[in-house]
Amino acid sequence: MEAGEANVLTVCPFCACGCGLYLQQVDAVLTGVTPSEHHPVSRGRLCTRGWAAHEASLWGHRLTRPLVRHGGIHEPTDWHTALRHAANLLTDILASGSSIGVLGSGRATNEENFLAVRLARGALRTGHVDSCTRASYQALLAGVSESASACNLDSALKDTAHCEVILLLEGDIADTHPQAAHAIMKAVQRGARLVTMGPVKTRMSRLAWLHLPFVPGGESAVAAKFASVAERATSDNRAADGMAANLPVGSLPASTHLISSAQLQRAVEAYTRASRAAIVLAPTSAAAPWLRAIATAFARLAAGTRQLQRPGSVLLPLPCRSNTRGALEMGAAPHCLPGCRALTDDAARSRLLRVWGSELAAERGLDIEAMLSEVRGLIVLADDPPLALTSEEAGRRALSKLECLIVLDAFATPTAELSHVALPIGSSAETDGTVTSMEGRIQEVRACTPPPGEARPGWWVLNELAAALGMSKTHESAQDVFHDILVAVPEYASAVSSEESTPHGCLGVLPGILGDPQAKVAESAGARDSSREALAALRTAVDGTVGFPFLLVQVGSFEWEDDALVAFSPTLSRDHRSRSRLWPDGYVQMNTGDADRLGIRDGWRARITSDRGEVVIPVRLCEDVEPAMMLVPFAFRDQLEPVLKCEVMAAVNVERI
Amino acid sequence: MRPDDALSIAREDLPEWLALLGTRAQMIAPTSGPHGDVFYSPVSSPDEILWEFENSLQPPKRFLLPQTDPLVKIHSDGGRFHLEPVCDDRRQILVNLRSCDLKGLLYLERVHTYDLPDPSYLRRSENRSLVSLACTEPCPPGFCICCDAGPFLRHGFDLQMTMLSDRMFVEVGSDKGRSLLEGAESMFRPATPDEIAKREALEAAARDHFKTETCHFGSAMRRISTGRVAEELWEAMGDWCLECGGCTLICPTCYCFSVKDRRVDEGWVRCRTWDSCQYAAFTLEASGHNPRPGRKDRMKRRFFHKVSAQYYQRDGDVGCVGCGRCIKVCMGTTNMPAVVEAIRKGEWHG
Repeated sequence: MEAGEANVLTVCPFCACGCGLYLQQVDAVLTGVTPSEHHPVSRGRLCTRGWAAHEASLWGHRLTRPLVRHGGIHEPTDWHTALRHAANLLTDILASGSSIGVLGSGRATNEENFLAVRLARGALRTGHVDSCTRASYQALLAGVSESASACNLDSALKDTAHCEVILLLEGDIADTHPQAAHAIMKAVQRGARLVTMGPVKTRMSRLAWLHLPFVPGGESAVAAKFASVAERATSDNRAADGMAANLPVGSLPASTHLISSAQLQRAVEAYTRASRAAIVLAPTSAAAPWLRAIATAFARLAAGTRQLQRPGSVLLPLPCRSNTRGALEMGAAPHCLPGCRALTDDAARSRLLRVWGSELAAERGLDIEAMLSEVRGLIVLADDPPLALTSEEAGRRALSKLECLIVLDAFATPTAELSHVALPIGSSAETDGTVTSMEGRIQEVRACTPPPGEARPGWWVLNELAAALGMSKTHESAQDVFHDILVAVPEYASAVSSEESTPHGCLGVLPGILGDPQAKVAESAGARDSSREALAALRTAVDGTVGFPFLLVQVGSFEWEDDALVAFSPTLSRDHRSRSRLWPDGYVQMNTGDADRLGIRDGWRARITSDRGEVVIPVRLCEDVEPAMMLVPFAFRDQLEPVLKCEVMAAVNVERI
Repeated sequence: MRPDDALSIAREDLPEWLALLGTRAQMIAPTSGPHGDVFYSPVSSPDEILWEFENSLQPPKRFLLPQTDPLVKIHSDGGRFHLEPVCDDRRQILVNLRSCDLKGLLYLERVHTYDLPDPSYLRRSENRSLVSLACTEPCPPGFCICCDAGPFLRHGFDLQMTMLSDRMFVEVGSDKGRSLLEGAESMFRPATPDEIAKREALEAAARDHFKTETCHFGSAMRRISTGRVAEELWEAMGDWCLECGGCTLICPTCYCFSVKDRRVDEGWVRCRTWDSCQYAAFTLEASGHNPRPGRKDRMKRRFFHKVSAQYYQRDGDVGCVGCGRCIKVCMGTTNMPAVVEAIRKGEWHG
């Protein structure tokens, strides 16, 4: 190929499906994207975001020089000064006995996350290390592991496309994980029966054989009902054919009030009789404790029906972002070491001592929400944490109160704007390294163009920062860091040396990924409390006896629109920018028939009242919303805070103004 | 085919001829990427050129209509803005184009010529020579025969090559094509009657390959042009579209674009970038009104443009060259043959 033009194979930086694509550059400027026809996951198909994978790097507001805040204003400086300043700020906080936290990222590579964990546990000697979208994914994984010891995610998408029945716990995966939606669509085209479950009809629901509507908190009840039927049949040692007949059609849990017993029976019957079936669990608006309970229940269903033992059957939890799984496996979590090893695992600690060259802090740390209220210093890698928090506004307030906020990012995010030191790193199009997809596929990401200005690769900056804090060992390249990962995480070494390893990656499965015994106790207790509260709200709403006839429900747990990769992409951000301009105060969605009865038209403002407070907000009408339910898009959760008070649902009254 | 338009060259002389062309212009040809994918890319040696290949997923239209296409440099000087057009005057020869892709470039040329000629596109077009390689073995997803876009072309090429057993049959389609033979006259000789017969036989065999598998544009055109496609059908098909936009971005005849300014040094570069009529925001107006708010609306618009008699009259062809790429890249199931069949039959089964 002639100098000046190149097609570089890399991995899509958005969701966790792990699609392959080529970034194109001409004279070191990104120009576009071509799908990889031979990639085993995507096979030439990319979603809207994948086709725009070059845009944020090309058009985005980039950090190009190290910045240090003086007198409230960011001033450009050189790398040496910025790193020294950052190290001094951190050292002062440590000297005063206060805590520092480190956040890895599902948007960063395995190498960057590994070095962020090294920075936390090795250089700063703290267990306060986490990443933004870890909690929901790990809750799903942990729940699955409670009931299904063998959870093989290998080729899960390909297998899903050939399943006969698919149970899909929705958060609109046509938007969040389009390649997974494609696999389901192909299955439906082949005649599979799709059962969608969620509070709102989505694009996939329109293709479904059956849609089971229920409110957040109802998922686990439905799944438990599925599972109890399956378990009873299993204990009777009956064939799968007999399972469905045992479904008790009497009193269903209150949270399943929207589902008829006949619907439930049909779904159970279809699932149990299928020769191969899939359960796909998308992250929903439910909090982590609920998610764990939901995943547990569905895994019981899969295990009880022996579906998991059948070749080609699938139980697939979906992480939010391209490397959410990789960040967790690199140890960006308060409860485990790289490789998802227990903090007490001596063998894992000795391996880390060998590659890090220093002792490490092996105590359990704080998670992201707790960190923001308790630490005085925070290092953020490639992320804008408030976007994933229960309240974005509260998150920003917490960040602004920190004594030291150090941000490593390619983009000028709102968090970078708040930082005391901003360190510019390469974007996904400018970085070498690896990422790990939802299936466990470890794939190389390759730099297509050099980072702009004085920006440097993330691994280099993390190395230098660790060195400024006294760590001796440094790395020469991202590959050098990956060699350390292979030592620290034996499963990655096995996968890489496997005969099945190809240029499109290799599959690594960590047996330890699911374990977090301490969290299990705490989260189970939390789940019970949260479920009780949800059911109480539901009963209040359903009964309508206390003047709150509607149920206000927050949908989604992560939205791409504010993520830097989308917000800085001209093509991808158009809808969201338009929505923000047209609806600066946010809105809620309401069933069209309900609105007619109240005399509310599309876009009119209404007063929404719960027992916690009230808010006046525009209402948008939607036929896909169930009657008596109102939906709050995740992006507008702060606007509904007076009514929701950081919960995901509330019984409310609605009045036309 | 006039006698002096039909030539042949020994296969072993091809590298020498192509190397000669490479000294006059940048050669663009199908190449094998490091991971098994085929790309049209600049080549520095004839050895890099593929002669037997499944067509690239991305069509070579990007050499005339890049995904990011700088049009104007803008800089300010004391409050005044200065505009400077960005001219791509590189001379390029596109070699081994598949018939469908060449037909797609002809379609784009017409679109960028009539009404309001596009100087940026036309400048590039003037500086490009198009050399096609006829498809003696049509590719599996292709249906070019239904669009009069292959497997062999009758016109539109500068040169069309057909691989015979030991020689390459070369048809000259334009003066630009004839100029590509200058300096290499000794390598070419008029095609013999036997070679012409072989070429005709290869075309007949290639056409026969399609048998009755066709994409029935005719009956679909009658229905869509007269508004006889039910709204319910568009809605049903819209449910099977995931709005990835892939069908439009890889289509050799699609040209929807957006305009964006990129900050460079002290100024800006105004760029034309690929866009898709299948994206909701493509027609979103500043007021928030969207004339095509639903997937069914956008799909209806796309296929009306592609298949209707109204556009056939304006553009001179259906907006499809039968390359089959939309079948490969579709995240849903709404590729061209599937939708045309649904329109024709009035029913959709996913």
